[in-house]
Amino acid sequence: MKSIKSNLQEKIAFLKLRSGDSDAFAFFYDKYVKSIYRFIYIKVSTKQVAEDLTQDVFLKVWQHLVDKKNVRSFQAFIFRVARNTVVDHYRSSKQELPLDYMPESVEIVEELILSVDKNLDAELLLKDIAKLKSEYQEVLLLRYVEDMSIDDIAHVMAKNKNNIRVIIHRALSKLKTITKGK
Amino acid sequence: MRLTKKISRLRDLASIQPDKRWEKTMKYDLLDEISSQNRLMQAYKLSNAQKIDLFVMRFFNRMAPSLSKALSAFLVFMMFFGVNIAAQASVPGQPLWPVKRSIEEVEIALTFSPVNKTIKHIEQVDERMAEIDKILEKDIAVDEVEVQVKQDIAIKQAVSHLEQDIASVDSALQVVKEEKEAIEIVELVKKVTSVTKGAITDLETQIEDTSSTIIEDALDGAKDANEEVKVAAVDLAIEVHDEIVAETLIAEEIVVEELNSSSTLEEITAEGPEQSRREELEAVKILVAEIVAEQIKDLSAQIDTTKEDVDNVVDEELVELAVVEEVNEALLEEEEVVVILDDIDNIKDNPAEAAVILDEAKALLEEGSFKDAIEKVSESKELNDKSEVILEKLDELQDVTEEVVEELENVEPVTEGLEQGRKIEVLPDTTTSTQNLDIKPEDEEIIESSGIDIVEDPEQS
Repeated sequence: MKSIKSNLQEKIAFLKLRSGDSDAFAFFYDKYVKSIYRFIYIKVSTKQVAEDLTQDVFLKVWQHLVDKKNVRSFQAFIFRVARNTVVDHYRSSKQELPLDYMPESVEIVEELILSVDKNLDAELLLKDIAKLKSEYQEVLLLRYVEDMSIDDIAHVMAKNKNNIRVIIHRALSKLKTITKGK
Repeated sequence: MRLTKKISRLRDLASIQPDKRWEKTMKYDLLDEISSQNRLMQAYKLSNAQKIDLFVMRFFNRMAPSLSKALSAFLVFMMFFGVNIAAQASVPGQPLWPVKRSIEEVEIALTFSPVNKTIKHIEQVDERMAEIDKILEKDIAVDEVEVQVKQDIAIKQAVSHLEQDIASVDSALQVVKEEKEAIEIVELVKKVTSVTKGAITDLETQIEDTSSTIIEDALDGAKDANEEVKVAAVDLAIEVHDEIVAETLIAEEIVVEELNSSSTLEEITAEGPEQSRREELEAVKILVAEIVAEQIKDLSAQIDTTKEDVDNVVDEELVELAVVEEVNEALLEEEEVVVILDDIDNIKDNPAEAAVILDEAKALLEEGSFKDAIEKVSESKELNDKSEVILEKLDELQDVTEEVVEELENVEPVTEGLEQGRKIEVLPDTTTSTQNLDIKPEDEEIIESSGIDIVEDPEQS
């Protein structure tokens, strides 16, 4: 849970960012680069692509704010940009969006695990999560890893709050099914 | 594996992180890109005057030899340096004081750390107080009206800038709160409360010493500004403490949850962020306790002084007031006197009550309830301040009664020239009551010729 101090810090930096302050940009970069990279990486499963797309996300965010466009919540905004950037990437590279679990996607899962340097627990988890459909993966990541509110997740995924609650419930049920017996 | 454990383990995905070298490189690349875009935007935004300046600067850079530039810069620097030295000793009202103030503003602008900025503002508050002391230490004779007026203006200017600097301390402290760690914030608050306390004490002394009401009002304003910032700083420290307590509690709840689902001892005993958070909380707690204790100690001294004033002064002054009231009701507003006398009766017990509330504050401080303790301190201060206001009114009233008594003593009855003469009864048709007039014999002719009938008093004849 974010503290009052952290929220206010972000608000002040956001105001500075909108007026083109590069220190404020650095503040947001440091704060969100790991989360955005992680979010994109789990969806695209390739390190190089994840790095390129992460860079695109930050440039788009900068451009959008300097054009004086308003945002309700910076966190929700940046994740939405990240999500849309991944979708655009798939469309432009004419790859099929991995929306549902398919047996042939097991290869992708293997590549994911082999190419990432992390501990065993995370590896096993990724294996399970990769078996879920994209929407379920997103809500679980945003809710339990990035600690976002239902409101912000709804904003990222362009759905209403009740929908999000239902999706979370279904994602957890699906994960329970996948992990049953482990 | 239970689902709740799975959910808590989802947090392990946070270990997926980008390559650190890539992260740094990308940051600098992005910042470069942003700076280029900013420069481009700036170029489009230049006004005509700025474009001309830019052209002239470029022309000069090409045409003028670099040595002369260095020499002129050196001369400017030396002149500035010499002026700077002279300006440091100036006070408001002197020609170099605006230079001193400008230099102070440049120093602030060149300070980037919010903590150092706050410290600079605090130093400027001290400087303003020293300037006020310097202006007031000059004795001015009563007939030196022009000099007195100049002093009044200088004091007003110094006080106005003091209030600005105090407000800057407050704003700088708010920025520190957003950007810095709790322990840094609370250490800075301690400095601020110490400086404002010193300023308040100095201002109180100067208010007592001055005879000019203009200066007194100006210094009162500055004292109030200092009080407000001191209170705001203490509240800030308590707010920071409460935030860090809340964060620690939440972190501990998460640890307990993980504890319940965890099976390995290493996870429980490993030193992690929770340990450093607890240490930070402990350090903040000690500092905040010191700050609140200092407020309690200061107020306790004030209450003792007020109690002494109420006990010692009131009875004598009441007697004096009663005498004047009896002798000359017309010169004093009777209602005002009655109200003040009533108020004096009411405030007799105030210091004792304020002391009781302060004891409650001390007990709360010992329990660690800083917010409740400081609320009790405010309550006690309010009660004490009421007594001080009434004592001030009493002082003013005493001044008025002294003037009245002086006036009464200067009035002498008219007795010269009165002699025993005949008592004259004035006829009923000219007045509603009988009046006896004592007249001199030589005035009788004048009265007779005026046509007034004179009847001799049978008793006298």
